[in-house]
Amino acid sequence: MKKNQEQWVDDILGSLQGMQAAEGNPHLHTRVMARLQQQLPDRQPVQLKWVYAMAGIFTIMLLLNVLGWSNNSSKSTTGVDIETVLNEYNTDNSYTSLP
Amino acid sequence: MLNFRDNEQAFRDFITQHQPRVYNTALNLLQNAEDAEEITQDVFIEAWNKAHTFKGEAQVSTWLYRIAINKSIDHLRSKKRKKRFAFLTSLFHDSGEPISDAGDFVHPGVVTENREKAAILYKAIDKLPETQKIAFLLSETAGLSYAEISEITGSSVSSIESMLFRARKNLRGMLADFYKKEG
Repeated sequence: MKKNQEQWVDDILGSLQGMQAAEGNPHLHTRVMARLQQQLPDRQPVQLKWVYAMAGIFTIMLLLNVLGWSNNSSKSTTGVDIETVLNEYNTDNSYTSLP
Repeated sequence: MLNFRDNEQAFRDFITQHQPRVYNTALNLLQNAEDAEEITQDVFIEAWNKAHTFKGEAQVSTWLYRIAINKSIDHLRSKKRKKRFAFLTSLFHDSGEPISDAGDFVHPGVVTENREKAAILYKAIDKLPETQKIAFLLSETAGLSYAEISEITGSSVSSIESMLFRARKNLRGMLADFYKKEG
């Protein structure tokens, strides 16, 4: 019994002896080339100098915005009121009052 | 260094030369002809894309074996994950589809009178741990030496020896159990 089992196991383990290589798809090259053509073009890495340049431009724009905004707000706090402007331009401000 | 981009004929020759090696490695590991074909295509696409990284320190065949094994193992892992997920979903929703697609795989190059026995062996091989499976298949089906397997897998020759020893011992155990059950 044990001997039969050993023999059977040896036969199974030896069943790959004399095995031939399997032939793959004869059109593999065509398939591979077709898939390669579908690939997206390689993405170019972004150069660091452009990253710095864009960061610089954004910083300058941000500073200009902040400066512009702070000038506006300081003018509005110290600016002339509407009555002075109307008097200066000799305009009737009756439209501001209710009928 | 390999360069195929300017020479398509060289790439065609490269595929013709190495296709059997890549396809048979994938076929033995995956035990499925369709999957093996897909992986073979993936291997040559990677070889095209990464040809510039091949510096010639190892043989081209070693480099291709590595890519083929890595891609096959990744494929097997993703298939296992999908099976596990399918099992979990089947607990809540029975779609009527079979969970496992494991069949009686026999490599088409196996001698006719050994096909039945080889089917049993492939089933047992499929149950081996990954490293043992790779070492066993490279040794038994591709006929590579311990040194070649060591270069492909990056393990030392002595660990390849021990992997193969354990693989054969495990296979013997599994086959003996099968014999007792079936006999």
